[in-house]
Amino acid sequence: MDRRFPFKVLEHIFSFLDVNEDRNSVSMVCKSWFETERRTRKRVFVGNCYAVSPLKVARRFPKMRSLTLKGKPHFADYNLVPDGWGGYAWPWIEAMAARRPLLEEIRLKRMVVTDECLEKIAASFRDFKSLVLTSCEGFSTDGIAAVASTCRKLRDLELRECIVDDLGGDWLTYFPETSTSLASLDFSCLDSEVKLSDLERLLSRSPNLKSLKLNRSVTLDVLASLLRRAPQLVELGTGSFSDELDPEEISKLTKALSELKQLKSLSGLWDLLPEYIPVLYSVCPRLTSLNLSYATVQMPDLIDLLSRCSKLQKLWVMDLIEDKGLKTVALCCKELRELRVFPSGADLDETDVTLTEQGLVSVSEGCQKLESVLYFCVQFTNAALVSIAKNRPNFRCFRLCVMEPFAPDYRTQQPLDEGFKAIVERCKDLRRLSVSGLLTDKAFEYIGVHAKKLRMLSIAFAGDSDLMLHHLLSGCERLKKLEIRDCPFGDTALLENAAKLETMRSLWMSSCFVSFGACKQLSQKMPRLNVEVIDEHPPKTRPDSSPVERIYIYRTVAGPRQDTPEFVWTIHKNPEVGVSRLSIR
Amino acid sequence: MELDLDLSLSPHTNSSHFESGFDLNKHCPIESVASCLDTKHSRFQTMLGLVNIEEKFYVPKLRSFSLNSQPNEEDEDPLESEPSSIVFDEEENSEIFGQPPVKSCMTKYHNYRHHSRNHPYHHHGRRINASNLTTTIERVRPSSSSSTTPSRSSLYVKVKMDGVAIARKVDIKLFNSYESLTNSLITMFSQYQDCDREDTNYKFTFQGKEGDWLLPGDVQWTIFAESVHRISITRDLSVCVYNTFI
Repeated sequence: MDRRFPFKVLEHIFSFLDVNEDRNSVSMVCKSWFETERRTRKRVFVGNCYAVSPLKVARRFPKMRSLTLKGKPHFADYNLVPDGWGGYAWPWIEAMAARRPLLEEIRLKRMVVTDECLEKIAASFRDFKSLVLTSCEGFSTDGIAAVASTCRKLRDLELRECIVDDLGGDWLTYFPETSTSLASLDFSCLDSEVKLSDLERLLSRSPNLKSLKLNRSVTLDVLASLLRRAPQLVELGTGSFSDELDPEEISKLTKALSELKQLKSLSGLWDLLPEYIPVLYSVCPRLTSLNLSYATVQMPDLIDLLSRCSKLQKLWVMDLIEDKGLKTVALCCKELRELRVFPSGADLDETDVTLTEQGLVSVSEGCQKLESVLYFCVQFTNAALVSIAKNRPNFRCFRLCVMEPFAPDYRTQQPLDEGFKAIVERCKDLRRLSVSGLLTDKAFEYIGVHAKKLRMLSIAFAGDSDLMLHHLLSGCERLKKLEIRDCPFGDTALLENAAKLETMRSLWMSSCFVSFGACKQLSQKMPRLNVEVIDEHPPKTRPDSSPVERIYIYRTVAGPRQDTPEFVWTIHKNPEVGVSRLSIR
Repeated sequence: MELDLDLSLSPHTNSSHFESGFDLNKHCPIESVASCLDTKHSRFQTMLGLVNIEEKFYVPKLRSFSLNSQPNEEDEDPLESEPSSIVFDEEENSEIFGQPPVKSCMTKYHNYRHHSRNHPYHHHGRRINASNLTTTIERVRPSSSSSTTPSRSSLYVKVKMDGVAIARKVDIKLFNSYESLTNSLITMFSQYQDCDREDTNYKFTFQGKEGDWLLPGDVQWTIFAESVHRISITRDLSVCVYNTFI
């Protein structure tokens, strides 16, 4: 009896699967499920662009409509990865252009994208709708112009924190003349000025625009005029908020903002002046997302603003908010799910800014739905961490950055081991964790024992020995990404847990005690790992005991990559070869 | 698969760290590990100078220190841009690359703010402060000076010159004598003032931690360098004026 489901039925069932993890599981059941699944997958996600070849991906998913790729390791955000390391989008764009011309969406993170790539996208995908580049670099506004002018169905064009060769604001004039299908436009990372008239005209002919993020050079005096042309906005990133306005202009701006009845998200607000806060009053009650990372107002003004934002779910703010401001958030923003507090660099000497661990404790007490935190603070205590863990066992993402390396609990002078223990013990759903402060191996023992759902862990200046790494690699079952800098261990734990590395996406270690010999052993032991050594000051000879500056180890089915620069070596699988430098691009 | 590795593979590992005999290869159960860890913990505390250190105790060298050049790019301060006047070795450098972990777009913005004259947060963008000496941990380096107490890796102190609206900050650790300090300060300020440094009579006063005011030479340089809190400079022929600070 044929027990197989007819292909059409399976296909229909699989069409309800939109989480790729589920799809990955499903495709491992049997060959026919694999085949059915791959023919129905529309959104493809590749977490490490070097883990698999573009050709394989293109071939496997014939119905692909959206491709998401990530390139450089996360620590590249903090300048720990030298320029020229890699992460080139070109091979992917080229492969997709040739085989998947129906591709509609490309989302890239930490990749090198050239104007050539952008022109290729524009020329190859006739239904192209969505380009989202996050932390990318290598292109200029000319490439953007090519996409704007050629992709007639373009819906999203978002440049998030990219480094762009900004040749001027002309690119804005390249959108189709009659009307555009733009729904989302983000050029907040560009430096140069765009002409007001160009922007006004664009807004007037983009009736579907829901999200607009301006760059800082768009001055406050023109904002009202722009908003009047886009009252349907749901997300707004303003330009500079510090230019002088006369009373009439202020009143016009206030009115224009109050007309944005659907506005849910507000960002930009560069250099926000306290006198302009009342202008924002009308939008506050509806806001679910507020990004004040560039709003340099003090705590009283922040309180004024935030006490009106009762629906807020996501808040990014600087430490200017202080403990008192966070207490207000705890009282007023009961829907808060995500909080990020960044360092403003304000001089502690002047005692202007008192942000301590108490701020986070208050928020954890008051905001029941809080599940994601990124908190920069000068010092912390175990007691605070324990309170926070007790209050908020629902954390999914907990990133604490105690800014001074090796800072202990400032009240007891003890390491922060017990505090983080509380976090991992209580927060059973924790998926992402960054630790900091003075930590011994014990902290990592706790993490290994308790953090069973942890996927990503970031560590800096911590631990005593290889035991630390051993605890993590042997304990954290779901660990996918581990990034470590400046910790005193390496070889033993790595080699003991070599097999674990193939279950992870990647491991980054910089300024640790990893020897060249261990790298070789690891690479020979594990055929499906690329063990890459990054050494900007390579020694003349490499005895096995010599330390390596940085290593990046990742699983791959694509073999060693062909585009390594001169400071990156892939350790060869053949013990006689040692390192291989394959052709440099 | 049995791995038989010597824990001290790297030249940076000192076998005295592992005197307790702990060997990962032996897979000791968690309970017996605890006692090893306690030894390690106290050793670690010693390393950090929480306890008095012996001179020869090896400290794992924190590598990849380099001058984070971002604050300096826009900085016109000659003290910070002239390597010849800087007396340090790699270990005295306080800037850790990529720390704190903040994205470059944000650092770029903060540097812009910190260097714009009219901004209330004008300073040199360094977070290290001189007043919390008791609560912050100092990183220990093999000390070349006679002092056995761990010294700060840098000490930024505000310098206010009479008649100049904006105070500057200098790292006292870059100098080794009153003369080098005062000369550099004069050079720095004379770049921004129209005064001719030859004609002007500069008077320096230094405020210590307890608030007492000192003149150059009142205390030994090494003691001064640990406890100075503020510097005031007055010009011209008038008698020293003790400025008050907020």
